[in-house]
Amino acid sequence: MRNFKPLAFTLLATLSFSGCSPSTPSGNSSNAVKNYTGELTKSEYDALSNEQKYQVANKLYGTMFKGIPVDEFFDISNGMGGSLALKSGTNLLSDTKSALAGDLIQQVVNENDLIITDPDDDNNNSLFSINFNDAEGDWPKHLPLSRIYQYPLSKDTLDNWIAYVLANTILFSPAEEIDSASIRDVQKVFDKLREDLRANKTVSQIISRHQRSQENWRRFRSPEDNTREMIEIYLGLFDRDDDVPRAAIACKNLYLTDQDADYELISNGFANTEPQYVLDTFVTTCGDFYDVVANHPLVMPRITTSIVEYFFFRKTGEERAEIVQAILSDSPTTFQDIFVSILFSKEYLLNNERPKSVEETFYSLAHQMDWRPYRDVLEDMTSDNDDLSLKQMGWPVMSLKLGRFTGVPLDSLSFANYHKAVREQLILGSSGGSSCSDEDSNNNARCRWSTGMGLNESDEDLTGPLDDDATDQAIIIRQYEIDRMSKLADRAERVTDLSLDDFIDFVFLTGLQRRASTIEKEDLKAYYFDLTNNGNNSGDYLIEGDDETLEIREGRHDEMAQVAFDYMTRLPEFYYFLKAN
Amino acid sequence: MKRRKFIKSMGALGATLAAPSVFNNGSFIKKVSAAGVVQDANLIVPTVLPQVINVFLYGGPSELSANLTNITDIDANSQNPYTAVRNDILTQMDVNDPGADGQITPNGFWKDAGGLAMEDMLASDDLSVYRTINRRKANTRAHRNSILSSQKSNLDIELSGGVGTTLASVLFANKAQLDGSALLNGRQLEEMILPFVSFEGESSGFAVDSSTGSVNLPLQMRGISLDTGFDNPYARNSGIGNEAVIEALVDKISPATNSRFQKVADGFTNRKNLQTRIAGLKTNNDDPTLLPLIADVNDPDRDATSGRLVYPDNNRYTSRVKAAVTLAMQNPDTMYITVGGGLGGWDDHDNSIEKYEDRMTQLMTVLRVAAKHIRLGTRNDINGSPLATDNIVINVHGDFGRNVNLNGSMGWDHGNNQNLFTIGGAGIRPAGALGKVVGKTERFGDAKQNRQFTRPTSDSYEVEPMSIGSTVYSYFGVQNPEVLTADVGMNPSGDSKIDETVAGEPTLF
Repeated sequence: MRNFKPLAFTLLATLSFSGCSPSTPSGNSSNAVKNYTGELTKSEYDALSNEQKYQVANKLYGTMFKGIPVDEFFDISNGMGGSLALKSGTNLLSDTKSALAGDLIQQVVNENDLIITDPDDDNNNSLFSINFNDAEGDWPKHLPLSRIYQYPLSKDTLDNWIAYVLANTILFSPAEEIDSASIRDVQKVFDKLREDLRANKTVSQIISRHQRSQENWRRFRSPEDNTREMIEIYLGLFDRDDDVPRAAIACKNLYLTDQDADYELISNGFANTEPQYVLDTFVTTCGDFYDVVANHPLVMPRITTSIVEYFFFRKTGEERAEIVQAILSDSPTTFQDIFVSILFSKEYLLNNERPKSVEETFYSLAHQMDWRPYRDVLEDMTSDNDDLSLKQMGWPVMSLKLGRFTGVPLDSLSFANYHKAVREQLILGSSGGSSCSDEDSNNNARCRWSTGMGLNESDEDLTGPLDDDATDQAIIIRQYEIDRMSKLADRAERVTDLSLDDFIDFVFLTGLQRRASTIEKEDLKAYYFDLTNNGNNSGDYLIEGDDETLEIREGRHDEMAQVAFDYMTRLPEFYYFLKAN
Repeated sequence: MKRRKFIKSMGALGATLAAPSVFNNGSFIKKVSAAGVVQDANLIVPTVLPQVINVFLYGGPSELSANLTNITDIDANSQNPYTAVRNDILTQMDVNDPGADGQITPNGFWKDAGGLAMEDMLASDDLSVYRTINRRKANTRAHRNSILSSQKSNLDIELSGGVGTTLASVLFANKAQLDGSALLNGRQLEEMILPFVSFEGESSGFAVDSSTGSVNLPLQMRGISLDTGFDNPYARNSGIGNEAVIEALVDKISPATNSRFQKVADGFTNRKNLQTRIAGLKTNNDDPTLLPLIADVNDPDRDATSGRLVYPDNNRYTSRVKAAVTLAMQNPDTMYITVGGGLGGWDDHDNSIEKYEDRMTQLMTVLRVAAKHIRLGTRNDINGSPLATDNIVINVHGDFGRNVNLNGSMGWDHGNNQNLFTIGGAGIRPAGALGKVVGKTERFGDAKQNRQFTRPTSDSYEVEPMSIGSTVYSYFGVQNPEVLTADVGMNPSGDSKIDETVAGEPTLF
């Protein structure tokens, strides 16, 4: 058993409860906000309809596994009619970019870490159940996913997300699937990437460091394998087979021990001493070779190409080449340069249409709904067989030797699992529901978003005093819940006041970032009315208001929304980031 | 830790001076060549509909399991000797006492790397082994290039379709010949049930053909992916809404955008079609009484209690191979099935021998059961008449073979020459196609250096990996499979089918 008391103590020791909210971006903008070629300009953004702006916003946020609820982006206090007035949507691009350049102050980081994890297993109802005591468990996968979910938009979040994306590509996958790698390698690869990104290390520095690591050797396990793959992966050269044996000679002193000796990277002490001609220069040691690769002029084009393929996999080769050239024209040096350049580009935000990954769909909708996770959700995502298993969707986490394939798997089996997971685990709940305050249940999905969307109130009692011996973590979580419920109560006032038509639009904007079409609205209203008219108590959704218009019966908003969401998850567009035009 | 022998470097070799460019990455080059000229394939409708199961061993397995004919030379020149790990690997086995020392079987297989199961399949005429699948055109030792060119049987790895896609394209382009034919039991091509199936999720065997002039296949003719346990995620749990009402609204709205969101729209259509179909397959897959009875009480694959064939438990390949064979047996419409696994399984760069032996033994044991399942199993066609099973072929191959030198990590790095294991299908092959080992090899490369391979001897039969696809096409009646494997830039002549009439090698003892 590992003792994580010191971790909790360290986190708490730095806290002062001075009113700093964990959910508020509290950046100190120590990083310069850069401008990039091909960015979507403020005037181009302003020229979009407000509905399009919301699509763009949730493509930008959704790509980073975030999302913006409708009533935070728009002012809905006067209903949903006409062109909705913007709230946070007014200066979306500049506000978001500034947030991504700002570091969270340590207190906010510490508080959020205590909200999402329960390192001492004190039953404090942290958002996620992450079992640090299970040495073989998947917590190294859960921790980054939980931080991306909970941290406010900031450079911290950006760095975590970039590290997660990179560790799932061919560039840095820990290859947990192969017998010489383990969850410890996942932990090391991700953590070192994150630390390097936090320190704004350059792409070359990160590659240089990673190549030499035991984690890299557990993936590519002999001098020839390792050097071949470095040339292919980081330089994109698949036709330099003649270089490989010479590069392998430079690394001939290194080897991986066997399973009984725990796959350790060892030098036999007989380093190469004869210069080898590799990649058009001479290298003698393995370190020389790694330096040549990391500082090769093809590194940035290759890395940029790989990342562009990840985000623009439906574009043609020529179109991707143009995007790569535009990014390279800014002479990027860091991964952040490449990712942020893509995220804010007009080409991505307005002209790119592609299927969303499972994480993009799940996380972005969860945020748009203010969905309260059930505590084991991340364990289910990273499991082999659960209904929410990303592996079952052909999208395992930091596992594949050559990384996730370019493009989201949409074969019939992978997509069936994807659709089923989103519909049944996020929208419906696996079997109809239990108490909304049951933090461990995956049955009560509707409770988890209906409170978040302001459709009904939580049955959680936050008014009673905490125990005298309540930990500081319990106090932080209580305050977090109180703040959240206060926000949701305000939202509930606005949402439950909406007319039937406006409510349907509100739900559609949440799920699809567009209003319901006339046909959709009329058919859904007819269905709601039919249930009411037939006296079906379980579906008695509508009542006649004072002015003889149909209004939503109190307490029925969530069921009506569930029917609408069930419909939306059956539409192909639900699974895509759309072009704005 | 295993004993290692460290050999001093031999120093620098020649130089390569080609200036690389990121844009020579194939994904940026749109070739104008049409990779699959289906019209020129010249299809003559066969009398029997073949069913092919393609088992792809990702990572690239060593060829040694089926080829110890050069092992003495290999061991003498390897940086690390094989005998340090398997001290009887240079010794012939005692056929009267298989448990005794000695790894070389009569046909030159590696006894403890599936060799005994291979010998059994060879003796029962269920198997042939081609030892010289040797890449000379656009030779590469990169995984991606090798996987794609093998799964597509084409060197245009970016644009050409997978073998399954190309096969579907040929058939669809010849729809007029096929529709209503006896081969399809009088049905239309699109009425075939699950004709193309992947048990490996999104498979490059069913990659879309993006080359100029490619056939636009209907959804029914594209690859469907199924779970190896025939689990049914296609069925939805009910929600609180009325299913019919919600689906009716979907049917009103969704078609307008289906072409825009094609892949997901196809996913929904497949979901609907599969949700009721899977249950029957699962029942059959799980029912041991549907497996054939085995008369020989000494048969190692016979269940002692039921007397029936039994797939081995605790075997990592059982579920996928059994699922593929069950599907082929139960559904004669299924024409091409891909089976694979996670990459890395056969990428044996370190500490390889014991793990490789275990893996190969498991694989070959399951394949032996599969071969019996096909040979002894019975089934009926859609009219209820008995239907032969000798149209079912299993092909087993991988990215490439491996070096034969045991490297400093006691593994094998990427090589070239590899084996094709081909099983069953006596009814669609020429006479004498089964029960033999084809191809002779020799060790090649400098002693005590890593780059040592087997390669075909100058008098040996050999083919390119693309010939495996050509052979599959030919089973379906394609007369000119070369055009389907051709590429204007790298392989203008394409590759012919394997000559299955070539004589096999004599036994070693």
